[in-house]
Amino acid sequence: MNIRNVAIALPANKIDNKLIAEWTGGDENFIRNKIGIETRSFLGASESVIDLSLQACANLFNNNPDLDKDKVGLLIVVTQNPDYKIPHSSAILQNILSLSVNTACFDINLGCSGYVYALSVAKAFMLAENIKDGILVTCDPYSKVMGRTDYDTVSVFGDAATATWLSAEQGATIGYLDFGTDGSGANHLMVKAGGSAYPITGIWSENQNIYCVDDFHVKMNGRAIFNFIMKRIPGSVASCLQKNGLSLSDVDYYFFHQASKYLIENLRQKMDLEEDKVPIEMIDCANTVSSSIPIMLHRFMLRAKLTHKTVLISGFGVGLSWATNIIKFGGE
Amino acid sequence: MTQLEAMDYIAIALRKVIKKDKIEFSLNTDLVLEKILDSLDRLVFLLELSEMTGKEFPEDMDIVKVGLFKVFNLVDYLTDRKNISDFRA
Repeated sequence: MNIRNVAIALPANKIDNKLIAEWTGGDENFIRNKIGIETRSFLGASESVIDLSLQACANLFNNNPDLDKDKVGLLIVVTQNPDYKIPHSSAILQNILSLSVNTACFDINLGCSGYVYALSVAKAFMLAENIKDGILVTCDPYSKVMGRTDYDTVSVFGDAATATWLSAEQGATIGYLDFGTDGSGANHLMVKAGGSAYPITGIWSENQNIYCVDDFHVKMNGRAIFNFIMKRIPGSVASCLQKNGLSLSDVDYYFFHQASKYLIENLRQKMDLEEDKVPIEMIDCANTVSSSIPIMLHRFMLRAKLTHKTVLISGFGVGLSWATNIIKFGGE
Repeated sequence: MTQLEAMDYIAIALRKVIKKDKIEFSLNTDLVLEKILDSLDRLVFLLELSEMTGKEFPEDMDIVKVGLFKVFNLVDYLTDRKNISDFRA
């Protein structure tokens, strides 16, 4: 199973560091120079996951006339912030995109590791069911769940959607996955209210002050997340390389989830990787959760940088969850 | 661990983070107030120190608020003169 092409969509609503500094009291230069972000995009009030995902899919179809809607047998949406609790976003998207009713549609509830996990899920499903073409969408708009005064999140995250064409016939091959979960850290990146444990209906019907508005906002323990990544990811990279019969020097690029420039640089130094093999692509879009790795793939494919290259992709975050894989590009 | 050894570990961790050969600090230094460590450098500093000494800095604890970036407090913790629970209180 192969990655044939990737398309992306960023919301038109740009948020610069000046505005972030006004909201949070943070330092614009620090966000630019250390976190590595100059601007990010937030969905508008009336825009949704489906709207942005639709844009990414439209870009994918427009850029790939060979991709026949009628032949798409699988549509996966990776998101933890869907438009609705019920139904799943992929079903809504299937209808708007006019995909066949024979398309398998499901969502995957994962954060920053979601794209890497979903590639393997799609690969297995397509192989098992003999599906020739599939689309993998990522869209996790944290702007909808971030308190605007919370510097730890609002300075870091941005919204984006991506659409990846998966094909049985040609494209970059997807290797063997290394993956893992440490649920003991689940509370370190969390939106507490809105699920079944703390349902929205409880607030309105019982009229009790059992939640505060802040419980509906994403909360991140930055130090715990940083420690998790620095401790887990080097081992995951080593394990993935072993599973794929490769060594560090066989990899041309390491596409790490774009959590922050500071984190990626520290991870690179810890693993003693060459700087030009570990690109950072977040200055104009920030940390876009499950979309960050496909955004890198899209941009590097556009720049024709991936011909005959071996790319390691590694996603990590919410869960705490991680997944690492190898993508091998041919000459196409 | 002696006080001198603790100061050495702190110096090594600071050098790794700040990437300067010589960093001046004393027992009276506050690494945050004196802007030696910014909010991101603190993460690496604590991780380095923890890996070198085996001492834990609980992730649910606000290390700035409890005063563990004041060198004399940090030394007290590293040398076992104080437990982490002393700082929680």
